[in-house]
Amino acid sequence: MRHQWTKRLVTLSLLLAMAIILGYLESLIPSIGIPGVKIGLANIVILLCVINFKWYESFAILILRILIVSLILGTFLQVSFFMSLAGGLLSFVVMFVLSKISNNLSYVFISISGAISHSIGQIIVALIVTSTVEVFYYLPFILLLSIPTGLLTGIIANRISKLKVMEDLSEKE
Amino acid sequence: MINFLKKYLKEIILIGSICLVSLTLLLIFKGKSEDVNATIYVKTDEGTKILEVIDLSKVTNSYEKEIVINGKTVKLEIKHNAIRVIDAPCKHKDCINQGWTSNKNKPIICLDLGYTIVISRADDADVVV
Repeated sequence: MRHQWTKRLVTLSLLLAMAIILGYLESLIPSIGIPGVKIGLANIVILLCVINFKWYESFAILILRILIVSLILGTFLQVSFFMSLAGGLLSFVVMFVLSKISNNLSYVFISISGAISHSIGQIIVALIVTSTVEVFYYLPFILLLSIPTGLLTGIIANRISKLKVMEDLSEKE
Repeated sequence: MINFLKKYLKEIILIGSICLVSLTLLLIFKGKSEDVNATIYVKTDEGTKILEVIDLSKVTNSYEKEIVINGKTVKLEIKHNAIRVIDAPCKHKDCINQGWTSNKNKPIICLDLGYTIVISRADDADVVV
């Protein structure tokens, strides 16, 4: 029992480290012209945690990832931090709900849904910051871009989930 | 092919729905050829206000212009029916990376400095939340 708990803790810690590294590496990639649009590599880890671990474990990884990456980048409590937080929280809720309502939904489906909700969360923050409704004009482009980004992260997360270490620690065993 | 469609039916429906919604929104938000004004909105402590309105249709030669937003200088380049940001003191430079805009579907937004540049028709009502 204690061995299993230690193994789980170590795995979660490694997943958090991976999420932080992916979040940092992503920040080095220049934006494609639409503010706030990223590939979402760190969401691979969040998606894996939402499906394979308990909700409070995956929630802790999400919050810690956003917090630590913002501290590394020097954006803590700035606009991009709140955008990341809002997008991350909304995405987490949507992915968690989808993973619980049906076992037949694939990683890709949940990932694309998460990507859309992440973008919507960021749009809401942008609306609050700028107080101009014109930020909604970016919504169609962001929704379309959610498809390839969600697809990519979903496919990668699906492949990782089949690794033995994930199967050993999955909540579904 | 049929097996592929059956296996990934939910994903195909989701992607199709997203495409449909996006295209619908694009049609709704579609800019018109009469979009000629660049309106610069700035978020201040007193709320959002219009800093400046530039009639892009009257521009014949391109020129550069500096505006001061919340104490910081932003440099714009303006040409006939288009505008872009060429220098700004924000951290991410998203506004610069957005490039030229000549269409209301592509407002220039800077969250760090709190300004938005929107292309609109000459007779559009200002929409400020």
